[in-house]
Amino acid sequence: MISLSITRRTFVKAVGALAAMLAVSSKTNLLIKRRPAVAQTEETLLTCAADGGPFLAHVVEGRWVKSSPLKPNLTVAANAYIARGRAYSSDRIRYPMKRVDFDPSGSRNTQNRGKSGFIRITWDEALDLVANEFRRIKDTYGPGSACHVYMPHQWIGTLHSIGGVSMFYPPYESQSGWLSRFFALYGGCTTLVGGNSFPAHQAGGPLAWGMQGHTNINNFADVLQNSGLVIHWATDSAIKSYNTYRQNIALRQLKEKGVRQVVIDAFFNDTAAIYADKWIPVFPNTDEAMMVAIAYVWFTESLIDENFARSHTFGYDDFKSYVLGTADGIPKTPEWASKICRIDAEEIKCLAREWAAKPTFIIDSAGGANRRTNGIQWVRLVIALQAISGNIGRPGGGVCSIELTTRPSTMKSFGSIPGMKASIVNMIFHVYFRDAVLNPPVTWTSVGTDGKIYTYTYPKAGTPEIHLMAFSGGSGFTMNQNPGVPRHIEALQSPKIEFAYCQSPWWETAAKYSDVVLPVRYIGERDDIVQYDNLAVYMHTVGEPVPDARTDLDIYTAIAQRLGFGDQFTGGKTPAEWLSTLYSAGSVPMSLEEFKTAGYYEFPYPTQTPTVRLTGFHDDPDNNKLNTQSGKVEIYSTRVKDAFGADSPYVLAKYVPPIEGTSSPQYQTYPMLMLSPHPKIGRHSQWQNVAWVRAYEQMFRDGYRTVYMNPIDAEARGVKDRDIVRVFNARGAIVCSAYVTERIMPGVLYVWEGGWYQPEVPGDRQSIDIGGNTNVLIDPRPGELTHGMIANTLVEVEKWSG
Amino acid sequence: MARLGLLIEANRCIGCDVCVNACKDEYEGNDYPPYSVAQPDTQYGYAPSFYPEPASKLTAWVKRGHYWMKTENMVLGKFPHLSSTYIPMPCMHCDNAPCQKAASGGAVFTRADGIVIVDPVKSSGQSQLVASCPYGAIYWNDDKGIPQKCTLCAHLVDQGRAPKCVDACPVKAIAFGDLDDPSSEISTKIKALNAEPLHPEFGTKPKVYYAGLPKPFLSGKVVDGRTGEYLKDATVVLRAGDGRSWTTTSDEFADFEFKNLKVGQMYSLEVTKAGMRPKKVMVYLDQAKDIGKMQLFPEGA
Repeated sequence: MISLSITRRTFVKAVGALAAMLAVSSKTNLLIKRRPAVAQTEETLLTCAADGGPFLAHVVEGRWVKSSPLKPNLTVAANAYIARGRAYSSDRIRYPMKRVDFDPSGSRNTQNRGKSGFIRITWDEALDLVANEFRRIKDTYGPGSACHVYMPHQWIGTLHSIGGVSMFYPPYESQSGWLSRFFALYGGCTTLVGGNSFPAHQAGGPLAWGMQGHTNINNFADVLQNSGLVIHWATDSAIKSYNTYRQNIALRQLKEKGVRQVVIDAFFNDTAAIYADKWIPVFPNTDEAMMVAIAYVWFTESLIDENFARSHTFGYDDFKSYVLGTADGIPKTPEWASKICRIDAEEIKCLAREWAAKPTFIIDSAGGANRRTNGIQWVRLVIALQAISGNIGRPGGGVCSIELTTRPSTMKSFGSIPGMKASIVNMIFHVYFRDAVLNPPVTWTSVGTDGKIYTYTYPKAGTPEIHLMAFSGGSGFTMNQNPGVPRHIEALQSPKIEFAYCQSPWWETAAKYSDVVLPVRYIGERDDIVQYDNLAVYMHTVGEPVPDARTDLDIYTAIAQRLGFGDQFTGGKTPAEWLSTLYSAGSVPMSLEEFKTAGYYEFPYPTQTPTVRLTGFHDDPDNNKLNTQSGKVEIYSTRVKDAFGADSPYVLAKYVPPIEGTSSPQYQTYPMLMLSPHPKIGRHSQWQNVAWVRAYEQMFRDGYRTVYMNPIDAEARGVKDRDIVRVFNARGAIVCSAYVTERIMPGVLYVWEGGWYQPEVPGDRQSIDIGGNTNVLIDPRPGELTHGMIANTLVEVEKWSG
Repeated sequence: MARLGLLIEANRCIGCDVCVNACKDEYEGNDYPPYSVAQPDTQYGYAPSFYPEPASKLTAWVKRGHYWMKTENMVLGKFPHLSSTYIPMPCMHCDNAPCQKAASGGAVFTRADGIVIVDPVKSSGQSQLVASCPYGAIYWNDDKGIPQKCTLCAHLVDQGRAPKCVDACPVKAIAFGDLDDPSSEISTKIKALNAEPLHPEFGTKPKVYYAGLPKPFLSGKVVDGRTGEYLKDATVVLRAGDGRSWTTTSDEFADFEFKNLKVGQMYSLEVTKAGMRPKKVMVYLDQAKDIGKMQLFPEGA
């Protein structure tokens, strides 16, 4: 046995020629060279965390060389090891830069955003420029002319999460953290609103039962003990959780206990492959046809308690009349649904019978089938059918968004930086960005968290339009993750947007289209604290891949100082003092200094006792009303009728054909339905700039994002596995690598979302996107009620030769 | 002396590639003499590089580097009757290692604990080692002119730790321990799960065992031949030529499935249900397949 003394020395020796990080010829580029090796050095282990979870960073001579679990066998989520790849990515912004042909006192050349190169400037030059523009815009037009982009998926940390100003779910304002303080003191701002994540849950939930559509009403202990059937609806529960470790323990427990699991998805996803007893491939966007056919089986085979259904819902008789066809002459039989959904009528009947016979729990992900114009009907029908079948407020019955296991409450939260209330002068619904800039005014409706229907206009009379874009905490919302990307680029290249700046660690999409970019420190490049699962973790500084980078906090402080409200912005406290304040709000039983040395503290993970909410409603609905107009689960919405008229297809929770589907005119030319699920590795566009992810062949091959195609569709187009193809429609085109597999339904394509938009000719929004960003192909037109249009996109695919 | 090995439960692997990326994290840019030197970096980009200088037209490129741990997705069957399994594959650390035979000058040696090491100095220039491995576990490092592979994290094992992939896996599908100790967790599990090596026919005697490898299946559905109605609780019996038989019942969706079958043989399949005439067919199983709807008709019809 070769014995090696067990020390922490790392013998780093130069061996031959060392590989450079990136072979690029430009003299100004972002090469981060590997340092030549030196003799034996000490290795330090420091705790840190990224949004994939906590880890130990191994640091040698100030450089983060690798990561390992906090302790052996402690792994919480899938992405923790990739954090180092983000920190040392070749896409880091190295120093403040300005577009070469942007002159704030001369020609701004906004049409060249995304095309022109950048030159290095000093921090003082950059901060002066940004502050001057903030001042000039406000003096000329008013504070509402500064547009702030709130990005909820910021990388983690309690001190350094910059928060934001948003009306994500009207009328509820979310104002938090440093950004709300900045814009409150600045005098206000315009903010982008609307989400891609769960628009239908946000709109449909309040209409259906007075709260978000995916509100968990049971805990996992109840599901494990009491559910007879778990339906994973348009979701891949095993891989899409934020806590992969605990989620898969839960799924395994269900399987080992023999709780039946059904997966409904056009793709034979990993949950279906590993855990489910049954996979039902339903043609996307037709789920509601199957759902009303299920109700048909329940009614005609007398499988539900009608008295219960009537006493717990509003609109039961209208719904029954619709389902049986007494209203429109079309009985919603399984045979009727089977043609639409492309599955056998008998499959629908079997699901209906099993659902009615057992306590049924539905994971109707905050994702999946909700992200389309008629997703609101799906959310409402899940709740309606659960109510009709007695699965609300009873053991084993319920819904949840995806996370089967929830964060324990034994740990007190560190809280967050106290926000200030910024005046929201205007909102712009994010998919309307182009029209807001180029063709105002724009008007849209939105269902609020209170179930009421709101109408908004941008800009409100007497208020200014936007002229300044402030991208921080992630540009995804406006630029990369916004359906209809090339259209929004067109707006950003307009002279109406006089100034755009981006503070980010990386050359993300918004950075490429800005006038000034400011390099920001990523996790591990500044101290912070965070809570994750049942752990409190001290996030050490573990490396300095970009010595010139500053924290968002430092940047906003410097701009605030130049604008005359620096002290109010910081509250007169240093970052270290703020860290101490945040820490003491928590319940870690030691001083901050001790916590820094210890690195982390593990709180007990409490055992759950089965808990079900809404039992009062279940047992006595008249005296335990829901927060809806009628107090019941509403299948019929009076609010929708009052707002849009009795003829609106959305008055009743029922099947409404997709706005882009087999009966659309464009189906003749674009006969493939494209789904764009969450990337298997990464969170939306995050992590996609790490080399290991670019080499992960389920998502990328030969540098291009994969498009999953059934062999029947591939053969019909002369496409073979690994061919480079063009996925296109009238809105644009993207380049992908064909991944031919039996796992996807014929007629359906699967392209992971989050691709970094990269037109082949940089800055030219007509040119094909080699980054494989699905938003290039998606119609940004929202529906009256739901603002997530993503899953109803028709395309065609063919070989691409360049 | 221990004989160290791994047990990989492929049927529980979610294909997240955390083991792959954790391995790259450990070995890209880090040397662990005398066991290994850094493997090449995985790289990607656009050519010519755009930022922060303008370019006229871009193409994407990627250099994948090494995969001392790799995963492959094996899909059996045809839509919609499928199985899908991810199979993580490190070096198998064979007892009868072909790479050791193919090496010269002691470039490959097996430690007393069973870990097979390719010496990063002595193996210089020995490109024949790459082809010598029937599992494709050995990679060539162009810059350094040496073959490289998984070391079972010998440097961590020396510190009393498990290999990195074991710790990294979020579903705990990889176990590590002493194969020679019958009471060790890994030995107990291998026995309980009937674990087996990949491709035992190579004769290399791997120390990496697998449970839940994808195997051919035969599936089908039971329906009423007159109405098309799905029939649950039908009894389905599969018989092989050697007299073995398996029995199951059609489930809530009238589906039935037999797993872990041998291909290249004839089977008989018989379906019975009270009140219906039995149905028997012969099936030649060439690969995992679905036999479709077995139609039953009522007695006397």
